[in-house]
Amino acid sequence: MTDKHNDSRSMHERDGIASSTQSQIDLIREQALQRAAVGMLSEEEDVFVDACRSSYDQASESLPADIQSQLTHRRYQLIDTLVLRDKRRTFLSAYLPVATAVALFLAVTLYTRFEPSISTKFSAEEIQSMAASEDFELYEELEFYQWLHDEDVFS
Amino acid sequence: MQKNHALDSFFREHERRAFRIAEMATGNVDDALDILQDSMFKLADKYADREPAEWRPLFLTILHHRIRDHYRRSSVRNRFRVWFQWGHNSDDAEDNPYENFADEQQSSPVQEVETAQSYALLSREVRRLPFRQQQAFMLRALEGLDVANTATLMGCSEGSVKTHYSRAVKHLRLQIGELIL
Repeated sequence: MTDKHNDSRSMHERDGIASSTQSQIDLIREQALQRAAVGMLSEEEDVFVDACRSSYDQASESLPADIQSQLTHRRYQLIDTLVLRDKRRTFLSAYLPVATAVALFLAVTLYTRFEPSISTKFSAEEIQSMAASEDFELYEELEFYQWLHDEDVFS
Repeated sequence: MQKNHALDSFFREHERRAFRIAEMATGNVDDALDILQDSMFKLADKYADREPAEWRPLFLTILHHRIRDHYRRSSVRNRFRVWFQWGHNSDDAEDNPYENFADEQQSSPVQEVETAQSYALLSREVRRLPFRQQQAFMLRALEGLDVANTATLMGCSEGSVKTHYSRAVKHLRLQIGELIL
């Protein structure tokens, strides 16, 4: 034993590792191995876990009839709800575009039909007269000039 | 329609085991059925479009989240009971609140002898485990998930899963090891 220890020490010293450093490395290795062992079960524990699993499997396979019927009932309920939801979705996806198109058409039709009849637009003649450079006074006094012409005041 | 059929088959295949898990965790048939139904609805509602191969881990995740929610609600209820002195003495409380939930299906020794089935014993003892150990044991030992999947499902590291699982097995074996084998 002592010879072996001496051999080991001389080997480490040959590798250039001091014996104190080597003992620290040994400690770290032991700790690492202990960490690896966490979660690992012994043989007896494995047997116990197998027994638990088999008990659970049997219990799951042999549910009481009333519970089994409740499970079935709830599953059917769920599937019915899903089917109903699918139908609703199908209906919406089929008719929603049509309904939107009809609504748009109606909106456009109503808007164009009830468009204000008094046009706010100016005719070309009006624009021309507004843009004319003549004095507006002439137009304002037009009636007076007409009267002068009729009375033939200057003749 | 085909999707609904696939879901129906999936639920038909997994509902009994899921029910047993919920029952084991809650100790109450009605609560277990409600939890199972909620989990089924959630899977159908949110994840039905996923690949059927993904359904099982998703379903187990939802189921365990529902169980956790149930525990939280029970915890709040129990606190109110303590405040209004309806429940047990607050001195009984320990560090882990999940250990304090009332076992609503506590059976008498006579009944226990009559129904001395290993499942009943297992169920009772699993329910007494702290929540995380319970989860780890159910997923690893009963559902046969590997460490990585269990860690993902529990939302913790693989090291934590190993620790919780190891502790759970040791505790259960100490309590019911001889009775169940």
